Amino acid sequence: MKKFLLLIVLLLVPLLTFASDDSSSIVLEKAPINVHDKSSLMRGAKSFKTLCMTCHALRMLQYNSFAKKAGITIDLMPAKDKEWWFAKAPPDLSLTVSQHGADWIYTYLQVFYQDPAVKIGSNNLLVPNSSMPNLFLGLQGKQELNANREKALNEHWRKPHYYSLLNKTSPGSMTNEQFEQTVADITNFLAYASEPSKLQRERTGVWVILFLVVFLVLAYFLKREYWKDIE
Amino acid sequence: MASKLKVWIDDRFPMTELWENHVSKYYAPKNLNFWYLFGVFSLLVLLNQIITGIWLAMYYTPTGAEAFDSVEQIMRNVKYGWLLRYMHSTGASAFFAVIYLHMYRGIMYGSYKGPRELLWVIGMVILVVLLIEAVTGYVLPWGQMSFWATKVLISVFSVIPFVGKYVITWLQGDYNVSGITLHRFFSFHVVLLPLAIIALTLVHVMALHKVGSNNPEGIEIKACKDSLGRPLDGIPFHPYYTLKDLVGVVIFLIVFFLIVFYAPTFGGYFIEAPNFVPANPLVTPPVIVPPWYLASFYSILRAVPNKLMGVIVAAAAVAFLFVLPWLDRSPVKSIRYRGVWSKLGLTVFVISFAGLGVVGTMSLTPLVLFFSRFFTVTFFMVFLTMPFYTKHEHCKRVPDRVTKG
Repeated sequence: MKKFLLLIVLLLVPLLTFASDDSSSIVLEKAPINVHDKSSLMRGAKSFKTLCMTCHALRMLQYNSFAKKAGITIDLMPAKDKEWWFAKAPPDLSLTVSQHGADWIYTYLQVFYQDPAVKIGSNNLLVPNSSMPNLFLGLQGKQELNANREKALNEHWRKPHYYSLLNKTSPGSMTNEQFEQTVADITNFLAYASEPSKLQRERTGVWVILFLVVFLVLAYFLKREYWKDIE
Repeated sequence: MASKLKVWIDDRFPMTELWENHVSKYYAPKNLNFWYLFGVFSLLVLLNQIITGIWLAMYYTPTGAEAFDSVEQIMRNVKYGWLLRYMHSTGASAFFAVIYLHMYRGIMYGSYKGPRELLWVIGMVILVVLLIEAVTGYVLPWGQMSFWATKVLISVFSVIPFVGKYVITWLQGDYNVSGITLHRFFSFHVVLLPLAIIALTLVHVMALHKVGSNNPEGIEIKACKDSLGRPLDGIPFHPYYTLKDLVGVVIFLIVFFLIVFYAPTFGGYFIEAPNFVPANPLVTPPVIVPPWYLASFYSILRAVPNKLMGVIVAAAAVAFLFVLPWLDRSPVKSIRYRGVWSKLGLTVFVISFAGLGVVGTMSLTPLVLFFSRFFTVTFFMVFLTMPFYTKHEHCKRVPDRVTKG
């Protein structure tokens, strides 16, 4: 019977892999982030302020003391009713990581490439025809599509990594490592922005679980003491 | 002094009598195993939902314009607001997890069989009210999934001939799911349904204490009593089961708080990623999935090509559970003494229900559709054949006294 149940469970497991509705056409790179790393958060916040906040708001952080310390205040964010000339309004990024996941942001920010076919001159591998222009051209350097693209599109069964599809044709002011670190810091900060309470949550949890474990030991021995009369 | 006060109260209110009848001199079988903890767990989760719910309602704003932001305010700017919210959202899922396991125990040990049929039926009523309570609560964060899952669920009423359209408008209070719907669902969620659940839970416990607990052996302990009328195989609920339940409760809390503190969204099953986007009637999310605890019934609904028939069949799934005590004609209660057909039936039932749940959270592909239909058929097969196999299979003889754990 147990073997039969196990068999059924094993048969159902492959079904679960279809459950994820990851519709991206490339592999999402694993974001090397840790919201407990304060210095990374601060670097990310500063980069956000200089690079992203011209267009993107983080309205949910308006009472957040860490954001305030990094100089991210509501009056510096683009106004809610600001008119955007070319495309739709850039989204507020307060909950982007909760919505898409950190890996998505981390990948999205690295896969801009030059594309003369679109009006803004750049395109994005993860979000084709994204209305966000390539802000990182100066930092990351110029990336262009290579011939692998067509081949990869035909191989449905395996998603390609972005770096197999893009060639760097001219260097930016940062090395690859520096740029990846900057993007990781921004992602880390946005992960923090999505759920600032995560810091307190993960710290408090340890004590609550520890208390319960100690209590469990006491409760168990008390129960055993009473139950020894029962055969 | 204390004893004088006790007498004073007892002359005016049956305090000691209630305590003795329901706790200190309430006899429960001595062989209840861990499966019997899930009833206590559901009481605990109910308490958790009520207390955290009261505090959440202090900060939550049930209007279309402010609901989403007020939830984020609770998560960010209310002291320990995140804890209240995660305890409430984890509690909602935990409620169904423990209720489903509680029901599984009832089915496994035949606890719904006479004289406990009514106890089972009351429990089923609680399940239905609880599902409505969960659905009305699901709307409140007013994210994309709140909006669209509600829209899909309410659209089920469109199958009612002639008046379906009007029923939907009447329920929504608007021509679409809107802030008005949100506001009235809030009212149901925090006043009407909790009152009903508390009242029904009391009735459920009263019915239980009238007939007494079943046990893993399915032996009626009230059949063998001592000269004082106490069941020979029974022990007082307090202190034996209060202490045993305490151990179980602490283990439950450890699991519960591990989720609350370290996996509150539970990979998108307890809080879905699309629900971090404010409700927008103009943008349909790529996939609309029901919460996991509704997924089995949703699967049945999807498995049937005709929508009206789908609703009828899904409703029949619940209806069959209601009449389980009368479908089961076995002379014995517990699975331990039943024949191979009952064991097979129980296995198929569990696999079908779980399988339906798994495929219910997936977007509809031909493979998923095949499995929903397959499990729907096996699910109903169990109920439809139950009156026959339970009557004719060969059962083992049940002992008169409890000797095994």
